[in-house]
Amino acid sequence: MSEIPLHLVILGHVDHGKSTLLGRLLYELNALPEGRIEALRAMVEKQGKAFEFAYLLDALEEEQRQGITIDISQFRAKCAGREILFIDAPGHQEFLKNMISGASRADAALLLLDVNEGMREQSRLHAVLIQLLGIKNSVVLLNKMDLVNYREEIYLKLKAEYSTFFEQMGMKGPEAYIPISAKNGEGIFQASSHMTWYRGPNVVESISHFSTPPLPNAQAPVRFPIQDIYKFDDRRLVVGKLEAGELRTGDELCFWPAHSRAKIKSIEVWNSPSPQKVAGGQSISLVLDKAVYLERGYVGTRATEEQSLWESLNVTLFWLSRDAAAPGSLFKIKIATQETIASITSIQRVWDTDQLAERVPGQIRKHEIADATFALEKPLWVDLFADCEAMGRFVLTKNDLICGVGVVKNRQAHAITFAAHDPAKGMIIWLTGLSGAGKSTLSAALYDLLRTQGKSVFQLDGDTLRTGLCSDLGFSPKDRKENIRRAGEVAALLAQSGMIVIASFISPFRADRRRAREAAKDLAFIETYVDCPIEICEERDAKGLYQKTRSGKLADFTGVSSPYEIPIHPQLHLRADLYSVRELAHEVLNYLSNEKHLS
Amino acid sequence: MDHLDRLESESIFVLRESYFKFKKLAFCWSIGKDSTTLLWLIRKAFSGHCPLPAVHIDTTFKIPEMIRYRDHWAKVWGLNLIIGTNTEALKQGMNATQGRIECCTSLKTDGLKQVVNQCGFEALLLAIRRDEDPTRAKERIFSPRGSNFDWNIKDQPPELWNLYPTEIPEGSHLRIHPLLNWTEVDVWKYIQREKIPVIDLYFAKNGRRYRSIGCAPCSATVPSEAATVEDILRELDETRTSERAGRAQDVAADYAMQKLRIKGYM
Repeated sequence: MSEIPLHLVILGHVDHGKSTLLGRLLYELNALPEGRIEALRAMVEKQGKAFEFAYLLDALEEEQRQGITIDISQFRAKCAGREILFIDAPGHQEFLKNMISGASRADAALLLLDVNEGMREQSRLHAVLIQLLGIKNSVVLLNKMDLVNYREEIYLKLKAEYSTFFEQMGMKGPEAYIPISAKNGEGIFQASSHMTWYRGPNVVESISHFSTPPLPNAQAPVRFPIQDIYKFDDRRLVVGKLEAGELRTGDELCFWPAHSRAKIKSIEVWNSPSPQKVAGGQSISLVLDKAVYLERGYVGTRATEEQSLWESLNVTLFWLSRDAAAPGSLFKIKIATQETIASITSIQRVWDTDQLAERVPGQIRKHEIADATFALEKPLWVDLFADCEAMGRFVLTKNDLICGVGVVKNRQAHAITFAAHDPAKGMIIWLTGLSGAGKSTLSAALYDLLRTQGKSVFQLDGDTLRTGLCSDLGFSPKDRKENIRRAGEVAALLAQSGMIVIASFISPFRADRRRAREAAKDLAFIETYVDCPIEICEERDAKGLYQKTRSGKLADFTGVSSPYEIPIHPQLHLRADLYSVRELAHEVLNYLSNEKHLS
Repeated sequence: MDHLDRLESESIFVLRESYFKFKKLAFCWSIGKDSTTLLWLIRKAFSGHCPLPAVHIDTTFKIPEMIRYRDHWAKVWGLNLIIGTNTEALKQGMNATQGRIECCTSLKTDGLKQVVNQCGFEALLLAIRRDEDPTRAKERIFSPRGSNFDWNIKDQPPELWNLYPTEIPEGSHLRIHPLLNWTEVDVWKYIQREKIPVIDLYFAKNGRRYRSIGCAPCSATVPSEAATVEDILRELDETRTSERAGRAQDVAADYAMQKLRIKGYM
């Protein structure tokens, strides 16, 4: 077993002594390549200078002129009896994005502060950011004590200032404030004879007290965000990182947002026998007992867990983009493997780490931290950051560039509940999608499947309706709207009589579909989006309608010369380009039985 | 779950992200222990399959055992092997005596450029590690390259947790580094644990072995008695010389690696 190193990030304002501290650690911990220190001593001697530990980094600093030492770097060493990965994060403001890249990998942090200068903007910002990123352990190092004659009152004054700052920010402060002189090596590996008034730990002791990164908790609720589905051979593998919890073969999972259920048939590991269980934190491959429809972004949870999807989030975020964010701004949000559009609905406060005051929150500017509320276009599976880090943190992107990063503090549920439905009643399965997407073939397949289960089923579609009930209607936008209204009413009447109605209509407008749902009143209305790229629909063109439209013989044709409004929260989203009709029909059946729509 | 499990898991996650996002994806197989470990991880991520082509840039100066090893395992593992050689430069007489950096840039970097352009790769998986040299330490796992293969070290995108920015960049392609956080010792421990059949140039014969392999004129052996993976791990525990000490191009000029990598070297 090789020990997992503690990832320790070292932060501090420019010139607060980070190079000197790192140089000393590199040297004392024996982490330098052979010959470097000797070469350096010879070099500074030649120049007639006294040796300083900062030169160890300055030796690399020659590179800086060529634009190099601006980014995170790291070294691994044994320190305080444990493996430590030291991550050096840049102190300059313009490199904050590099700093958070380094800090996001850390378990613990050392914050360096020059006692001559006191708290500076970067020291405050770094302190807040490490808390935001979820780093649990931190220590503040009050450096350059030698320059203030090791006076206790200066240490106490700064310590008080820093504690007040954390208090005002409403944050947990650091574990310790350690007075040191990185230059003279005091307070790092041993206590300083100049500071006998200080009784606390030295730097190495405090590192030894940092809690080890917790191993994944087997009792935690299962969180399995799907990365991909593979079919390289006869197995259908569902892959992803098990972010939390523990899984065993035979466990039943529920996959969101489809709410479909399946059991784990086997846990697959290449080149080794299938294990009976797998712990959190690992990249896994599962084979399920049922071919339920799944795709990247679905989240597997334990089937017994009480759950819901979330569509409004309260977050704290750090802004990285030159373009400010304001209410109404839209971004792509990524949470684990889930993605959707987030719009900022309100900004509650913008933290001003410099003035210790809150700015009027009109917008969030570059390098500001803010509390805000997002509305999500599509509800996602989200946890509070405090409960499950991986499912409660996010990045925001615009034009494929990361512009913000943050964590979820609170959330509001998605309005649609997954209440069980009285199976004695009928229901409406409303298939919507482009012409040629496969609605009619799916309807026929579903009809057969349900009939074999002894159900009363009725297929309703545009062609049958238009030959009779709607023969007075044409294809003007007004008539098409009326056509869908009548379809919705007829479907509702049939369903009230106990029928399962499969209604196949392009029904391109959300408002029309909503009206059909309203007509169904308390009956189950399963909006099913039959999703297929228009290129494929056009290729199929069973009715020759695309060709007619392209040659100008048909006006207002959905997808070509008239819009199709994609369903925002369909109960089912089926990919007709990826799955066979049979698979899709079974997917619908799975959904119906999971939701207890079928007895 | 130990350190190796964690590294393996992170690498597999990165490989699966890459495979999901990029249809035109390949991995660079230099035949060395790192890229062979990467190949092993690919097979692990994809359940025994290698669904992406292996690109090998053959400068024609490789140590002959490397070519034999490559062809043997490519066949055994059923790899789709793409071999890239800068024949134009070779015709004009390019070799290490023309300057080591010039030779690397021409035969390796330009050779890779030709393959990427010919095959239209959007992303390349490479087995570099942070601990190899200070320039690689500053890399990102997902690192965009400009249209001329150049690497803009001053302005790299942020990389938060495992929420990788995996969109295809505007420039030429994305470099993906699944082994970035591994060290030389981690790789050897993993080779030991997984029994990966690495090329035997790494194991000492007559008191010398290769610690890092590449082209014959620029790769030197180091004195060593390490004849097994266990010996190598013991040796690494005791040594503090750098891994690439035997690679002549690294010391050909000040900041040689940096100069090579800014231009698109692996």
